[in-house]
Amino acid sequence: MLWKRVIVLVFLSAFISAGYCPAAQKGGEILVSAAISLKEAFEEVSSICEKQTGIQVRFNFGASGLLQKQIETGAPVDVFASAGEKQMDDLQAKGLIISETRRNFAGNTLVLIVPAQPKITLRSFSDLPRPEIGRVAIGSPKTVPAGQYAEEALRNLKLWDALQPRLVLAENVRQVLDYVTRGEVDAGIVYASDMAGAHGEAAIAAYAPKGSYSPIQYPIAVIKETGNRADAQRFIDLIISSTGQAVLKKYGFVSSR
Amino acid sequence: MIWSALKLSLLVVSIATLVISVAGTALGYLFAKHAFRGKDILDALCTLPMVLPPTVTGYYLILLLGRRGLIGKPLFLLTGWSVAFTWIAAVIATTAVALPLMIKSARAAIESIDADYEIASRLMGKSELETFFRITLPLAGRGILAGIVLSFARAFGEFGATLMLAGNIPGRTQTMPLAIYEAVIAGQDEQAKWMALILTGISVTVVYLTNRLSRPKERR
Amino acid sequence: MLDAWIRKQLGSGGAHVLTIDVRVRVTGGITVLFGSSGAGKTSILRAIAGIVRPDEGRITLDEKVYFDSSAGISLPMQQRKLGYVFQSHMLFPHMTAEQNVLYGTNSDSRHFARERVRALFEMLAIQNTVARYPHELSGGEQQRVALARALATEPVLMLLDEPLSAVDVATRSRLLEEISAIQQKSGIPFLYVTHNPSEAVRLGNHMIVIDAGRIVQEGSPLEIFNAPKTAPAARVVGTENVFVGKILRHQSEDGTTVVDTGSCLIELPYNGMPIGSQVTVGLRSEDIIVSREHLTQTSARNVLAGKIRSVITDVDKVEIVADCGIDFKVSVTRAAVRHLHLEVGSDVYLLIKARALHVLA
Repeated sequence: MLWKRVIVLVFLSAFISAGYCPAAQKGGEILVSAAISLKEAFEEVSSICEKQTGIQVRFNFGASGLLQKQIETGAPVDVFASAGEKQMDDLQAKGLIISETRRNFAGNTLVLIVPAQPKITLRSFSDLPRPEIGRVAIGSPKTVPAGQYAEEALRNLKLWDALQPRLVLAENVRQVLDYVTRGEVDAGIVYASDMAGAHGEAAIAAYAPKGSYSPIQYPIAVIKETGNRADAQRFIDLIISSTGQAVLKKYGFVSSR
Repeated sequence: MIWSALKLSLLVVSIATLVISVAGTALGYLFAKHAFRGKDILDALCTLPMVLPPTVTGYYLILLLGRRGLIGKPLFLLTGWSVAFTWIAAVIATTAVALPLMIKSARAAIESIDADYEIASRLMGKSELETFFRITLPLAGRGILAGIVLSFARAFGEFGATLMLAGNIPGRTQTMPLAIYEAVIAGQDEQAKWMALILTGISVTVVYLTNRLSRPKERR
Repeated sequence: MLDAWIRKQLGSGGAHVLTIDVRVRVTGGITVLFGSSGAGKTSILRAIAGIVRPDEGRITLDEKVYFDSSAGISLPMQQRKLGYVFQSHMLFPHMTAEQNVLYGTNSDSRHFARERVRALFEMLAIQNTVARYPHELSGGEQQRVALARALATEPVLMLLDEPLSAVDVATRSRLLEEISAIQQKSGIPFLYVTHNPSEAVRLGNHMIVIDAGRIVQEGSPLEIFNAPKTAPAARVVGTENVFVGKILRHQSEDGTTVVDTGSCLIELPYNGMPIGSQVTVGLRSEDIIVSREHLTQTSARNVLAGKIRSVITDVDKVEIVADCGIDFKVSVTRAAVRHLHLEVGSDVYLLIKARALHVLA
């Protein structure tokens, strides 16, 4: 008898909370899944968005791959902004986004970074194979987009084989930055935007030569199962607008090509 | 960011711990005292979240409860509501991950009691339920409390499964561990540091208080 | 009246498989289930209580059917209205003595329940344990509380599983008298399991001897102990002659005490027990000498005249039962039997040294 009452109670409270925490379908609110690297830029854009249009933007920051998985399993997301094209391609192939709304909204550049007080002076990527250089950190190419681009650049620059035994693979870009800052490694490869938040802990030694890696594009799109296409589109429009682009530039991103 | 994460964590963990305490003790008792068909399979299923990485547990949960999930799909079609990405999902994920700890602790505590105590109670005319509340529970009390503290600790630090099923939405599902993760990745070290301190402080305080309160009475 | 036919196989394969197949009947007074460890006595008790389920059988108490395998009836433990005293008391450690005893009472009327419990505490002389916890009590006090707790439920039958085995010898004697008194006062039949001959003899109106899961003899305890009818029964009761008597007088200068068994006087080594108190005496069958003539010039303080009732011949010994007012088991060699021409009906004298007689608890 007791457990029957408990079950009723559970369902009741579930429904009540559903009303209490409004689903994204309600007008004026959207849920944006975005790569963590976009956090500060997007948070700033969202407050502009709220002031200008009254739309409430809720964020779900995470690793692009994880966000993709969530959308595939039916997460109630309205907009997806990925740090890599692969994740968006996969969703598009599965028919989970509204293809017409897909845009590249930002780009990024690959940089070589060193500790603020480097023991060795590096001036370009080609300095890396020097014997004085110990370990070099990059994001793990398997899971970190920045790592994939780093590998591509190193391969194209014919530095990959020489550097392979000295590479330290990190789980995310933050880790790479930490390693460099603490001097655990002598150099690291990250995005220029990652350096926007670093205050004197590390320094950019060089920019990867143009053409050594494919253009880094950040795609954004409206999810097909959205309950609020209009507001979702308005958010994307804002990101692409000069206002949005200015914010992104502030945080180290470049305009998409 | 800190305060909403803290509030959410406290809410999610309190509810989860409550559910775990009751369900875990009940299941622990069931496993300790009763034989039934499929017992071994149920036992394995209940142990699974302890063995799997939390992310995998979260993945199974979202497969089950997401809008396209086994249970989630009919629920969505019926009510237009999905549990994923709500604070309830955080409670579910946390409960799933910490429940096995409670079940094992409760079962061990109950099994360690000489069965003749419960038999004596039954022979004196008491039902199984009354025997459970008046004899089994008091005698197994310490072990069960230890299980609750263990589950609470696990719940408070829960990350992987919550991230999968509930997402990382500040103000709605971003618990402390998720907030700390986000702050670290985004380079917001100050925030991360403070939150880690608060998390540690609360955990240590709770465990300490529980140990003090459950100290055995002074024996004359 | 309890009628329990129980058939159960214990253990699974391997060496220690014991099959219980008994029919136990308890009418009134104290019935003793006697046997050595592992004979199955406790299992029988637990089957009657409903703690374990027989493979086959039928258990009824008065008109009520507790168990019937053919009809698929098995009354759950809590409905059997039995009082159970465990070997290790099993008093709830988190409750005081009073709370333990109150536990089994129905709180239809709190007042009456408390009154009854108070009366029980008085009857068992444990008023000073009321507010204390089990771990603070002595072994004897614990078992008394356990007894009170079982009685408090107003059972129709009391089951006791070797309740005195963990109690020291001195306390045991006192407790035996009290248990006997309580049974008589309450009128509730007791089924008492033990492997101790002294307890069996002091308490039992009726004794059932269990060996390897089966009943090997039933009857009066003294009779069975001193005149077992079959070899298995004899094996179980052992070579001990057991009888009960009252201290008649002490002869301190001689260093002896005289005990009146009701049918003959026996002289034991001096003990300081009060005149008139009950005493259980043991005597090994190997310690008795058989004589065809009345000998006086020996060191044996006891020379008892009797007639041989039975002669059981074995490979290495002969077990004789002689009636000297009480039956005595005597163990002699075949040579002796031949030499003295001992047979049923022969008149003999039993020579028993005082020092061969020992006081059992």
